[in-house]
Amino acid sequence: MVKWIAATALSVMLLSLQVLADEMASENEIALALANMLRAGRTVISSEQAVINDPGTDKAITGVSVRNEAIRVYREKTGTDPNDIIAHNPYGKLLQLQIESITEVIDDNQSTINKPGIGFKGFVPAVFARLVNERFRDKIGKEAEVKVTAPVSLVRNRKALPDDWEMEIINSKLSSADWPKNKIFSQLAEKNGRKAYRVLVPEYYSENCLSCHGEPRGEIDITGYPKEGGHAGQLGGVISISLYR
Amino acid sequence: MPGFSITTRLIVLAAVMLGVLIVTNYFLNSRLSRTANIMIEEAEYVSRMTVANSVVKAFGDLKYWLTDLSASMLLNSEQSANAAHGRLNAALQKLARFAPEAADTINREVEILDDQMHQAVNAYTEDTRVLGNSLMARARTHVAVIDRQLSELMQQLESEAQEKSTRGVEQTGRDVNMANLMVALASILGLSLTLFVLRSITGPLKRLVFSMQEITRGNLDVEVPAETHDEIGAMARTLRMFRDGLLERERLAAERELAQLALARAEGQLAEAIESISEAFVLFDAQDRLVICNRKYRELYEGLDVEVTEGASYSDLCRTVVESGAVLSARGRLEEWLAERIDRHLNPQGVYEYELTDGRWMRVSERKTHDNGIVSVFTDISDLKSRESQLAEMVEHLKIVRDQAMQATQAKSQFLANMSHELRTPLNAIIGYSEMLEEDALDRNDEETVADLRKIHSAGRHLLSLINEILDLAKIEVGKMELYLEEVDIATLVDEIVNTISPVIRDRGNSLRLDMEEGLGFIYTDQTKLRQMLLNLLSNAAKFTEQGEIRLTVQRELHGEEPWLVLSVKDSGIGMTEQQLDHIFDEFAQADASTTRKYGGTGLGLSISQRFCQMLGGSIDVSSEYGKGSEFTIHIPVTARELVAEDEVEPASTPASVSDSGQSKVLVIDDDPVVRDLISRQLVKEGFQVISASAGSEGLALAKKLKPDVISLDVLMPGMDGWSVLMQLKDDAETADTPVIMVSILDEKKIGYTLGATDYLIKPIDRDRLLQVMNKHCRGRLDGPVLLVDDDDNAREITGKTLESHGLEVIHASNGTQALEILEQVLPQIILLDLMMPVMDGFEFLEAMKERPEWRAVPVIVITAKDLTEADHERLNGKVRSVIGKGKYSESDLLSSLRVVVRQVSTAGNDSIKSIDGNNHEGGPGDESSAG
Repeated sequence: MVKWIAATALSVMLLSLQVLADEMASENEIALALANMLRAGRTVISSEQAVINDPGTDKAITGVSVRNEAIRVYREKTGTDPNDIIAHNPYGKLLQLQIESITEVIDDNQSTINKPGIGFKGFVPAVFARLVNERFRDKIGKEAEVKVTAPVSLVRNRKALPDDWEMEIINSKLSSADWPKNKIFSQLAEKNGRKAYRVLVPEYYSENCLSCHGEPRGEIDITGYPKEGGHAGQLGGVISISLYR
Repeated sequence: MPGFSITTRLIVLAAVMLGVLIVTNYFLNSRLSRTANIMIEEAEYVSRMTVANSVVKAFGDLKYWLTDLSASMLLNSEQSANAAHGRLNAALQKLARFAPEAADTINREVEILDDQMHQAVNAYTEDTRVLGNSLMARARTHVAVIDRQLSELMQQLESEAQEKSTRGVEQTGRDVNMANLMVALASILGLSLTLFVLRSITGPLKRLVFSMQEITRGNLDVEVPAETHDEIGAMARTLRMFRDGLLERERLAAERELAQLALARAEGQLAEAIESISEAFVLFDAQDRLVICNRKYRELYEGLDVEVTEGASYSDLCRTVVESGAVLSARGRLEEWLAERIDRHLNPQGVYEYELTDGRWMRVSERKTHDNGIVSVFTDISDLKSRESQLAEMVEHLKIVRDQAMQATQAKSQFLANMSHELRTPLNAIIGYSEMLEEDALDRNDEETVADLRKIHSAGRHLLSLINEILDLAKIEVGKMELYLEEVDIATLVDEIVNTISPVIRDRGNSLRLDMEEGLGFIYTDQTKLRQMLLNLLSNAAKFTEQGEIRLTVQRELHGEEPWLVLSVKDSGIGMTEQQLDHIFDEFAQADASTTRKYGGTGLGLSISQRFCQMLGGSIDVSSEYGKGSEFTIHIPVTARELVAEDEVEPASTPASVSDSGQSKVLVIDDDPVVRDLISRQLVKEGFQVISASAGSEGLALAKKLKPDVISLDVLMPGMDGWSVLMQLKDDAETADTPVIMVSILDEKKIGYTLGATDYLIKPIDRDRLLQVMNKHCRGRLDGPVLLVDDDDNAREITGKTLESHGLEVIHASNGTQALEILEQVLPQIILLDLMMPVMDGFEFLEAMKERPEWRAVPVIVITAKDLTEADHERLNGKVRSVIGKGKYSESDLLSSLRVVVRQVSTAGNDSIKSIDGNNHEGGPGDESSAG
């Protein structure tokens, strides 16, 4: 009897563990997908930057074109179709809403992108990412949030400042010399008084980034902000994903 | 100004200028300091405005960055805002120092503003835009408050700064004016003072330069500026001295010209004089070359083959004459005579005489000149020679006559002496018997016989006195009258004489008045002779006075330092005429023949009295007015010295009487008996032993025989003169070292010293100078100090003064202990010691003196009132040099004793005691150290 009860209990416990493991895998997958999609959108904006900074009009950079290009870049980079994730992952809706946010932000900023007579318009990948994240928060902020932050010394806009938990993990883990490159960090933690599954995805400066964040330190970049003096491969930012439970 | 030196003037000028500079500087400093203060205040306001501006700017930055932040959200803007806030706080802290209230208000408002702006930014960050806008609107109200506050502050600071600046500019303007004024005043003062000082220097300097130029041009009469006390004054003084020097030089040049003229004239006169000398005169120089001669000298060589010219040698001249055979004295011994003559010529010694073949005699007198030349005078003494031989014959004749006369005189004196004795014997019988018979006749009342016997008695007495007087005179004449010197109490003697003579005086109704000084003391003299003199004068006075007054005055007098006794007998009798007075002291002479008849007497009394008086070293004066009276005065020294009659000082007898007494011997060579007597008296009194010589040859003999310590030598003497004596004394090894003091009426010091005289005194002789010179050259000079040990203060005082008056230093001690203390410090030359003293008496002191050899060497003379016993003498023997009786010595005795002792010590004399108290203990009554 006891053996039976014990076996039953063990079975229940193992089952529960299995459930928990599945849950975390889904959360991990969606968090990574959200990060990758944001990166893909930024890549598209980055590649279109010259067009955007053209003082001419009607550049045919639309929400749809950017979404499609982003999905293509996503597929190319990850080898995965985001629609599959939307379809099978219990949190697929979040990716769906992020893609919609990308589309809407491009559409909402058409007048800026196509503003005649002005070259540099400040519509850079980072601003684009912030606007996407804000739109994503507007849509489903109660369930999940995506934020681009960085080590405090590299943050430019106070909206991007890391919260206490993020600051602790960036300083103790991601910034440490022995942290493996591109290794993400995930943990169940508190955010805004709620329990959340939190994932931090490190981003490193590429050559493209250094035109604004590289040497010489203090020199004013194209946006009017002093350069940080960063090097290629240096931890330059962190995409923070919070999935409220 | 001329009262100050140029240096002082320049110092004063510099000091005034410095003072002006200091005052001006002080004033400008104070003004500049005030201006600087205003500028500092201005700067302070500028600084405040700067601070306020920095507040405004920092606040502007803060506003901008906060606004920017609220729009951009960029952390960079936030950092800039924070930095601006920091700068604003720092500026506000500075502002608080001068505007604390405004700073406080702004600070408060800024804090609120900052807080609200950050809240607004946070609201924008969280996308709560409405809240953000609301917070921004509230913040702007604080911005307005702060802007207003800052605006007011700036306005206030600007107006204050403006005010300060205006004040500063005005003040500076005033200061510049004042400074200009002061510089002008200082310049005027400095310039005036400088000109004043320059004028005070250049004015006198110009005058001085003018004087210098004039003097340089030869105008020595130019006036030299007055001598002021400054450097120019010194220059003026120097210039004056220079000018005076030039004047003096001119004067001297003029004088020299005159002197040269006079010299030329004198030379001419001298040459003329030499030429006109009746004797042959020639001068040879030290190399025996003829310098000058006269015609007479050249005549000596007439007819001989020789040239008597300047430069000729005497040896050659003499040889020519001798070889011509003209000199009889050289015949047969030509070379020998020539050598002797030339030797005598080169070393002149008195005169040289020789006979010529023509019968003439020549005398050569030669003498060395001061530069070793030789002056020769050749005199033809042929006449003299012939007279000399006549004279020699005459002298021989006279000698015989003189001897006969002397024999006759001797015989006469002898006869008189014998006769007197022979006469007195029967006379005594006559007088004695006549007295006896007179008494018998009285007893018999045989009046007639009494009267006759009295006549016989009286005539006998008169005859006796006559014989006595003649005898005295005879003794005096043959030099057999002797003196017996002794201490006599003057008052007692005079009283006795007065008592004796009083009846005689009263006989003729005369009165005797005696005026005798108190405290006449003693006289050391021949009592009998003094008595005889005085009685003679008094009886004469009584004899020639009737019903009158006879006055006897007795007093002491000082002749120099020597005390004399003066006895004067004055009568109101018949007096004498001047003719009578002239012969009053002549033997056998009375006023006139009638006097003898009327008054009797031999006329020998006064003559004898005068001779006695002279023997005692004194004299008798007389003054008289015919019909009114006479006054005879006896002067005799209180301490008589037995004078040896002039004739007795024969060289032959003198040395025998000279004994070595330790006294210094002085030989006086002088032809004048008065000088000899004078020098002798003065030196004897001072303790010297004196030997006299009346001629040079005698002097030379005595000098060799007696070896005197010093010789006093006259120059002008018959026969051998003083120069010759001096040369011979110096040539003789025996006498060469004896100091010779020339004593002459001639002032020829140069010759004297050249010939070797030690000192030179010019007659009349100054007594002090004579003693000084003698003391200087005699052994054992008494020069003190003298230690005087006596408990009797008065006695010590008197003796001390006496010694001090002779220039001796005297140290006083009132007993032996004190004297020993003095000996510890000073070693006296001689000690005068009393014996009876408290504390430590003389005997004990002498014992104590034996302790140290240097004390033992000091000679001691004892002065004591004590009658020394044989035992006392035993104790003193060997320790004292001499003993003097207290109150029994005169000043000169004391000094003489001191000198004798000092000289004895200096010649390491004997140690025996000698005394001058009359009680000699080793020698006889005539001991040399005794007074008298």
